[in-house]
Amino acid sequence: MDAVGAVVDLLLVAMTLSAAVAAVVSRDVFRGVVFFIVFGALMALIWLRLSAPNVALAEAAVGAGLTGVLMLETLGRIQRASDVEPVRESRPRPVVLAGAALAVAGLSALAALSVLLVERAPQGLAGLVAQQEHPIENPVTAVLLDFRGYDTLLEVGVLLLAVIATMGLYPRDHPSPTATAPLTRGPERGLLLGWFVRLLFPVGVLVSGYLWWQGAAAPGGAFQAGTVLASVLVLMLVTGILGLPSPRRAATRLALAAGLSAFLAAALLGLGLLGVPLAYPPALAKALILAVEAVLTLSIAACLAALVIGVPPTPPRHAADDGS
Amino acid sequence: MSSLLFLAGAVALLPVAVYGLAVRRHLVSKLIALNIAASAVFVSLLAGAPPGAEEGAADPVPQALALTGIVISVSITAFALSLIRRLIDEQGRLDLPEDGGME
Amino acid sequence: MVIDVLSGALLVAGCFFFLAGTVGLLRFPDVYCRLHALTKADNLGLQLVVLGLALQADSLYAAAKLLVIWLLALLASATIAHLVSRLALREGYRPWTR
Repeated sequence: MDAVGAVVDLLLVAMTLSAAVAAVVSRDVFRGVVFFIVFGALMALIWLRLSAPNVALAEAAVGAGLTGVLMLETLGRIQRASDVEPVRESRPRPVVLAGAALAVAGLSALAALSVLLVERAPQGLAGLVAQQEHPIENPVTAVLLDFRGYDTLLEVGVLLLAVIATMGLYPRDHPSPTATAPLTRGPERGLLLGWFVRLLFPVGVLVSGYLWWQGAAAPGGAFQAGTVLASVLVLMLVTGILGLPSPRRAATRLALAAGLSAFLAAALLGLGLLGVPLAYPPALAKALILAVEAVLTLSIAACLAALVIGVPPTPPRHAADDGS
Repeated sequence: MSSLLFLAGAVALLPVAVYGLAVRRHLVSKLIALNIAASAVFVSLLAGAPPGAEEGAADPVPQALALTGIVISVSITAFALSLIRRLIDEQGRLDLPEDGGME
Repeated sequence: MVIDVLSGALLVAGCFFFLAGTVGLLRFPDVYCRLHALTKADNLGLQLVVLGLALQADSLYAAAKLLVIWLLALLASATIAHLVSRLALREGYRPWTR
């Protein structure tokens, strides 16, 4: 069993390295993006071999899937843009390249070695986590939402910030079609795709809800559920079954910001009831965490869908008004 | 033993990412290299950790950190891609000027 | 023991179909032939792999989840193959003839 596992791991690492090299070295950027998606899928397998199924779910959905879609979509816009100069790549001398590669590899190996040589607790932090009696059985969800809740709060803030920053990049005074045209299929919409998406939407909602609910006891949680919901949402928006929401509408802004708000509300609740922010009263802990995760799922789905589709630019209210 | 192998793999991924960031001029290739570097760091977080409490699961704290890192790198990638799109509209180019000034 | 052998045989057969599909992807002369190789071989390959894994599942519920995964992959690959080939036709890729 150990020998077979070692061979599998060796093959996996070799394939991942080859995919990464192909992704970075390809002159044709489309080819590079495809190899990057392959790299992401192989990384998900590496996470499974490292016994981290939560991270494997997130890597497959977000790292390989969503990032790949974002890059492919940008490449499509580049193709449609009218006047883009081709990029002239330079080639450094092979000696310089080899020296730099050795230096970087050497430095990172030194860093890894120093980490390995440091005296570590025999069970890492898992022992500490296991000692806390917590109603949430999935230790990763407990760590994410309770023990290291600040990290997750700020992470949701970063996601919302990315959406706001993307919206803020839209120019006000001149059209910028590559940047601001939202991703839609246009007037021609095939029959098969429409029906496929209509079939997939309830399945997607069901899988997303299942992942959210199971996140308390098994691998899953808000981020994985949010990504599944985001993907069906993107499909609905792209095929035109759902209309594009304007960022001026309160409902859109609420959907984007609700997750962060709910998390902040839970933190303030802890501050009010127990004197420490993000402390959950023990009787309410599981219900509160699941409720916050539910709102987080919807909000993460809205934010990720907004990042993929692009929020349509808001026209000025009056002709003379060029602020918002 | 296999976690050592994954740690070595993560260490080997870093020069690839640095090559992409430093040598490639196409901005999307640089972004791919950045994502590869981030993935290498997350793998080294978990591969360098001691085995978890039970045999079947890894240490939950590095798992949570890696999850957070993945979501943050997708946020950064999305914002960087919208910057690239604005660059295309404003200047019609896909790389940054090499000599530090306006070319 | 018998179940393990049967599982192993189904998994190997599934991997053989994936290999055939990959060879087709690399060697066939145009988009439509490659799509054909991909969807046919990978659907059957995934079905065999899922059957092999379902035999090893802990409960009927887990096996049913695996079958649902296979159904979704089947639907998705059929739709995607249709979309890609329709776009290729519209873009002007004529099918390869001898």
